[in-house]
Amino acid sequence: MTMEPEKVPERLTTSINYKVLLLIFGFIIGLQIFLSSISEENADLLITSISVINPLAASAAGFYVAKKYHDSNVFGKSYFALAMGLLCFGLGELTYVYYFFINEDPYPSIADVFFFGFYPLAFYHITKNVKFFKAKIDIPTKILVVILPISITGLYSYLSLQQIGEANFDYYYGLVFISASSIVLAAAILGARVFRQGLLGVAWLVLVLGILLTTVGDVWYYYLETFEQYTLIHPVNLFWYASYWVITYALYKHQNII
Amino acid sequence: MKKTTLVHVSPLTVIAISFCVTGMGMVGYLYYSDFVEQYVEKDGNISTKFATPKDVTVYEVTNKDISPNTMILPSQISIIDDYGDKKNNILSLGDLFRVLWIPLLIIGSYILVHSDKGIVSRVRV
Repeated sequence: MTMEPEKVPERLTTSINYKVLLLIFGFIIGLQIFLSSISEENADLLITSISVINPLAASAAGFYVAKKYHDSNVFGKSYFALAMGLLCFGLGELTYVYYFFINEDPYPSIADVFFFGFYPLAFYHITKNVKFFKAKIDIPTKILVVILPISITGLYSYLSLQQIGEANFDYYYGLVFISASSIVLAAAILGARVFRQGLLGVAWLVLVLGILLTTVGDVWYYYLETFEQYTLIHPVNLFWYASYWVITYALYKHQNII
Repeated sequence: MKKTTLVHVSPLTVIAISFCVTGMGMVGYLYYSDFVEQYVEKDGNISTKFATPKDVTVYEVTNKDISPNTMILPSQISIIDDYGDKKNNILSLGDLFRVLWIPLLIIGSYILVHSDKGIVSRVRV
């Protein structure tokens, strides 16, 4: 019996499964509806558990991918950094919850150190990949990448200052996080453009969506904190939950492709 | 053989995703508002939700013409007009921005990712 040689397709393709994204968005909207139907105490307890479990689950997925690529100098280290960043988010949530349950103000607190830890680690993850593939980036693109964080911090400043009428401590404190978050988003967009021509383009596009959701959550959260309107069950949390799951999906796509 | 592929996401998909994400926030916020209102009605001590003062205009009326025959008015009469409801009816630039910034950010990111010029990549994977 002769074996037919396996044909390599002329064009390797991979695509985003939009059903997964719809499932994620549907689930978290369902969660918010459910939270609105239960008592405040139960809602706090449920949201606390989910807030801690979500980033830790995404971090575990990151460590799994990093372990898979441990022989690769680029992917091994960069995915380990991303997993560490997600772990920082998880530790930040744990510390936040601790302060909340001992009736101390969790914002600002030591939890913010962990939350902030995500940004340099995610930035390292992106730049390590982009540098390795030695992409040539022209000046207008570099300018666009600089304009994006400026626009996002400008948006945060406009909304906050319009609401509170003065630049208070909470505004400046939030500005640090928004700046970091928007720089990571700009870098992720750059990464997606670099990888767009390759098979990893899909994974990077999903990663950009995940980081974009984190940035949306960050802008809304720090805007709310400037006039102390954030509560544990506020819908801003949905953006972070969605971002963790979308990032996990990006990790899955990445390890599935190569 | 060129082992490359191109990530193509149609603009329609991006608009759909941006609506999904914005809808997620809006639906979440509606349910959250209902939830907060229920608890405010119950015990009235929830969070800092209504800490923002309403917009008020204070008119000061002073009686300068004081004679023995005239009735002395209190030095200040505060007439408080509540413009909160009127303000809500006008859609300002700020309100528009507050609603549109999430889809704008998503569409802007999409345009940045999908612009073809500017980067020469050596990616083979």
